[in-house]
Amino acid sequence: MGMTADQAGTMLPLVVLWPLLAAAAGGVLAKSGCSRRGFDVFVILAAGLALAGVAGLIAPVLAESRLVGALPFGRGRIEFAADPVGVMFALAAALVWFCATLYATAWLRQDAARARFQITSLVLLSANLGVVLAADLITLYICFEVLGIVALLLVVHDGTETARRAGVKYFWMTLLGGISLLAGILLFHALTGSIDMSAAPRASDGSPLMWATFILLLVGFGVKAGMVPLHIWLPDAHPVAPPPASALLSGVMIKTGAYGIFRVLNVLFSGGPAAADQAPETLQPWVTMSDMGLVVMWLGLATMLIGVVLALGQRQAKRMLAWHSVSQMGFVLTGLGTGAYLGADGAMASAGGLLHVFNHGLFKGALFLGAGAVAMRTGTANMYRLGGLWRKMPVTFGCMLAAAAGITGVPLFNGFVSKCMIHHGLVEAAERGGGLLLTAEWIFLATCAGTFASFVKLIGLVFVRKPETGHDAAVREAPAAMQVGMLILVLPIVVIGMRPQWLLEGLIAPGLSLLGIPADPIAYFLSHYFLSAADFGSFSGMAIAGAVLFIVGMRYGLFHLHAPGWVGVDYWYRAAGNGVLALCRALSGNSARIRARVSESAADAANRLIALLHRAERFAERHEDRAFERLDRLRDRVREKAEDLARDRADKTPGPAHEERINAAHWISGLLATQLLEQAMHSFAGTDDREAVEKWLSSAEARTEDLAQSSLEFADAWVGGSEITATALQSSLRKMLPRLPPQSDIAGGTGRRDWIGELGALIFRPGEPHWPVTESLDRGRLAAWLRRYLEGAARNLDLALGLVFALLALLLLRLVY
Amino acid sequence: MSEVFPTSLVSLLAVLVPIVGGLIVFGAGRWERRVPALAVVAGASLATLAMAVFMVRQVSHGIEQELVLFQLVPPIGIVLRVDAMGALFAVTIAALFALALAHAVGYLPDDRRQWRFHGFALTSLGCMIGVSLAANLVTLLLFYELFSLLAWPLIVHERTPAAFRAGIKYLVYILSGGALIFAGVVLVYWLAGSVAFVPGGVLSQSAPAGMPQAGLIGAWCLLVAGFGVKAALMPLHGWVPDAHPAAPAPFSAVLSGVMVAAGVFAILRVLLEIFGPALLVELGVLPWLGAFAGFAVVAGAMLAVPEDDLKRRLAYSTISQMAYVSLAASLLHPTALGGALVHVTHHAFFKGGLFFCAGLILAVTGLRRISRMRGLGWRMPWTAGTLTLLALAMTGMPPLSGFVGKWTLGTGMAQAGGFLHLAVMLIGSLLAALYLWPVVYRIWQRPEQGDPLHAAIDQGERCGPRGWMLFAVLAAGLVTIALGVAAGSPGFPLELARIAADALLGASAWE
Repeated sequence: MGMTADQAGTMLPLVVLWPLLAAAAGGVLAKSGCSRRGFDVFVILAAGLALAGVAGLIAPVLAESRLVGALPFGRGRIEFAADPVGVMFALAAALVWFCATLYATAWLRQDAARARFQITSLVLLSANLGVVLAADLITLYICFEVLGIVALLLVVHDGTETARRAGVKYFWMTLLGGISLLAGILLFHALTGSIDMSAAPRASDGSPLMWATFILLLVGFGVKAGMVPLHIWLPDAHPVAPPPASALLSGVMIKTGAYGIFRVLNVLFSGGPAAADQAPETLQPWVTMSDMGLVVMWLGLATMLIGVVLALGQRQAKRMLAWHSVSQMGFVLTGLGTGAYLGADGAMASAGGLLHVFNHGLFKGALFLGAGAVAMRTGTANMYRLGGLWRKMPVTFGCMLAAAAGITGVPLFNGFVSKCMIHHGLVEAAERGGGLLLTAEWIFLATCAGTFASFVKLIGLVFVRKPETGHDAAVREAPAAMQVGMLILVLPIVVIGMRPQWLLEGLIAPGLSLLGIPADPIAYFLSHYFLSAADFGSFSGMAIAGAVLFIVGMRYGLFHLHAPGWVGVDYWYRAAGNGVLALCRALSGNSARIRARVSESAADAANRLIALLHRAERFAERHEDRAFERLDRLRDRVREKAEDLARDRADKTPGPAHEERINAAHWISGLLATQLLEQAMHSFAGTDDREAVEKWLSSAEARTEDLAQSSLEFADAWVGGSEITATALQSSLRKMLPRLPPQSDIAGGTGRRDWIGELGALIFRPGEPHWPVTESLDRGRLAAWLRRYLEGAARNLDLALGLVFALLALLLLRLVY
Repeated sequence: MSEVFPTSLVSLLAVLVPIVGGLIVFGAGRWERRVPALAVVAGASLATLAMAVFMVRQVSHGIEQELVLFQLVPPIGIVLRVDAMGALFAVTIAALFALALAHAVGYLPDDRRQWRFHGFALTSLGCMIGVSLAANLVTLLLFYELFSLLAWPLIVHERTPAAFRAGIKYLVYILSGGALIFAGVVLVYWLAGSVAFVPGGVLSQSAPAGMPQAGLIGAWCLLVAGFGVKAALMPLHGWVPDAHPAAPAPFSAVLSGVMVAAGVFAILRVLLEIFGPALLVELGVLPWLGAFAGFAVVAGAMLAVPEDDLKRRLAYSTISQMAYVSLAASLLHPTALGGALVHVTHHAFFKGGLFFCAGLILAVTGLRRISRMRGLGWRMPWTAGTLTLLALAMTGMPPLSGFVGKWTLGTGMAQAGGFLHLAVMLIGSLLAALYLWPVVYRIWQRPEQGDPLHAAIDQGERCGPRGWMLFAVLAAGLVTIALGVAAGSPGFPLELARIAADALLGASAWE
């Protein structure tokens, strides 16, 4: 590529944004009714161009070591930067993406939502490249979040209930991770005053704040990387997606988490370049980095072991592969952590971790694609039901075999190289640290043996053994596009296995030395350890142990022992989530109760105040008003309830005349309740048996639902064409409610609350009905006039204007005097 | 009295045009002239928006102008002033009102009463612009009380019993708040001899030393509590969850988007330009504000979670979101303050947009409850898509507008050392996801067989959403995207907020 550095810098944002532009164009294309074939060609070309663009970055990056390109944006800029490590991540992403896109064109042939899948996938490619080529943390965060949230569309692509449930889990974990990451970035910014991601030395003073920042960043990236104990979404979300999406999720997207952790360890909190021969007090950053590496290393070891143990217990091929993604990410994290622990001597382990990222993208992508091809042709992904497919699907078998050789670390395949490097790193770490670190190597070897057993199981059950049930003769090789997709992924597995120096010395070593980590151990590895007898020896030991594990496990059914639910972290996440929800509900319920109590006692206090102001005996007469208010409220409730019931019915049973019935329910319930109100008020007018009134009112209120129900029946009848008479309503009321208390001989009290009292009650009791209109209010001329005016005003909504003028006048008066 | 520049009259016009327009609409509505009334509504609101944009341009060129209208009681006058904070708020108000008025044309039944709605809305728009441009406490109080009262007929517009109840509750809360504010203003005048807004604080600058501590704290409490009623500061928020669902959806949007924000805006004015940072630190009242606001952030969001009525849920969410601003203000850090101002504007559009969506859903399907909205997204894809987008913006998903506010707020909080504040804010946005995710999940769930919604989809029957409402919904969505993607552009909220924060708290350490 004959590009100058400047040109390449200009190209950098374009490389990142190209898939996004292609996605927009794809959207237009899909809307405009382009043929399926045309659309497929377009997306393949788009992904291919993205791959070419990333490949074109390699030469200028190696020449310049760090390439910066900014996109002017308003007054600010979005900055991208490419260094060798970032380009390696981008290359892995674009390569797997291209293959998965190719594969998806065949997989989605029958899918109506084909265009949505491909467009989403292109957007995600853009976001993924953005993460690994971001120049600062804010760009990284933006791309990281877009990647996380938009990938939800791929997880739930099939729209099944399982997919939805996995999607919910995925969403919450992504969100938690995103918030943790944001918090970490904000703290980092506060700590150092910068969000730049170039390799300038950082303040690593070992303060609690710095550790909090580190933990938050680690959690943020760890969720994405499937790090234990944040991995719970991964084994659910990856298998439910369509196979090309699984390949992308497992092969590429989770790598952004590893990328983040690499940057955190080696850039954000790194010891800085060439600190080895400096004064002791400048060694603090290296101590910090080493401690952080230790944390990541142990988390990585836990991740790899737990992942492989659970992978062994799976029946579904894709679910098993997903658990292996967890486990393999454990290898990556162990490599990165060990590298940071060893500080200036850690290049070999770090390089192993980085190489494993690339390798895992290749073989896990190929494995998911192959498992998808098998599932497509046989209709099942259950390994125990398959068998003998190597004859029928030879290409798929070959690809899966090579990929399995890669993931188990067979010599001359790519996994062997990276695992050996991580292994040597662990041995060195054990020599330096001693103690508990001595067990690390054993955990590593046990995991390798487990991986071996697991893939013997996969290949053996699916392809090699004699089928238990006669297979459909229709099972045949996968479509050509899928085969090509898998083959392109498998080829580099072998190439890297034979010639690892192309990647190690080409991209990774310059990348590490750019970050201030001396890269000599990589060259040392290639010349002394690569394909050495010792490594062959440890491989054969591991393979024998794996084979034994496989045989013993299959024979005694060890792979299907299940631990109780509370052992898994999943259980505790769920419990925590439900706890938060319960807390919210409790708060809501209690606050409503408290609020009601407070407003009631405030109303009581206000009444007492009014009573003091306007003579106690007048206050005592208020029971009629109260009764009226309660009945009025009851009327509202009955009407709301009746409407609700009618709407409910309308929702449940489709049919004509809904609107009519709802309207009828509305006015009939109003009529019914008004009848009730009138009768009751008439009866209460003379009585002073307050208890009887109270009792009657409570029983009437308890019958709200019945009243609504009966209104609905009337409404039905009315819609059916029959008349509604007042006598019918009254008789229905008589049937439903207890008898009204009898009128007493003594006529009701004469004293009534005056209008000031009413207004006071109104203002101090906001919960009450809007305007108490009893017949028996104070009939003084002024009061009556004012009340009439206010009623009219309220009805016409002019009250506000009146109040505005009154208040304005008041305000002016207050200001003048 | 200062010399009057011709351009400074724009501020007066921005207040008067909508008020006069509103009065004309009352008349036009009375005589049932639809087209002229519509033209007046559109003309007045767009003219106001244009004037607000003009003021923003002036401010971003560093021009600040003051216009003394008249002396109410010397030396207290009704004075308008265009500064960055005010201009930003004014343009937010004008833009959201323009969208809400468009939405209302579709939302309200086409009869005489809709012009009453538009009339009141326009007049309260004018008064709100007055609040944002007020140059002293008395001017602020005048316009503040006016728009608060003009909001009442809009809340009870639907004349249901629930609306009247909510309306009374609103009035009681707001009038009590107004009384507190008035007392606070008198106290401030007594202490400082002036009520003008002065960067740095009129009480810090113009008052003699040895001011009574109790008086100062009393004034602070009165003013913050009084404006806190409108700002829905947690124990004073009672009217919010009732008034929002009762009001017509376009007005709920305005209520949530800018009216609650007006309370917060007034609190900011009081804190920064009446008391001033130095005095606030001396009085030691800020931790209290922070504690109340932090409580509101978390508790408001928690209360939103179990709420089934969409508009009520959004109302609680407003309580939580607006408390971010007070939370940030309690730190007195320029970046945090800038973030708070940006958040006010951005929140107006995404929350307003969510209310527009709720209104559109209510108008087309009659659904209020979230639990019944299953499968709605497949029936109304544009509305549901925008709703999803706005919900993502509210949870702070980059590159949408919500993220810009959250990022700036967060940077400021972290820089100021308010790690607890930062944690509270992040918990708030986590809870925001907790109350919005079920809505999004529900509307995109495939409807069950036999569900009437499902039947509608099977028949290919797409309920035609009414054009005006859909326009408002989509416009809010587009604004949310634009404010997020182009946040750094000149004349956008971020820049204005930076100018405002610099003026109020001194030069900031911005990115």
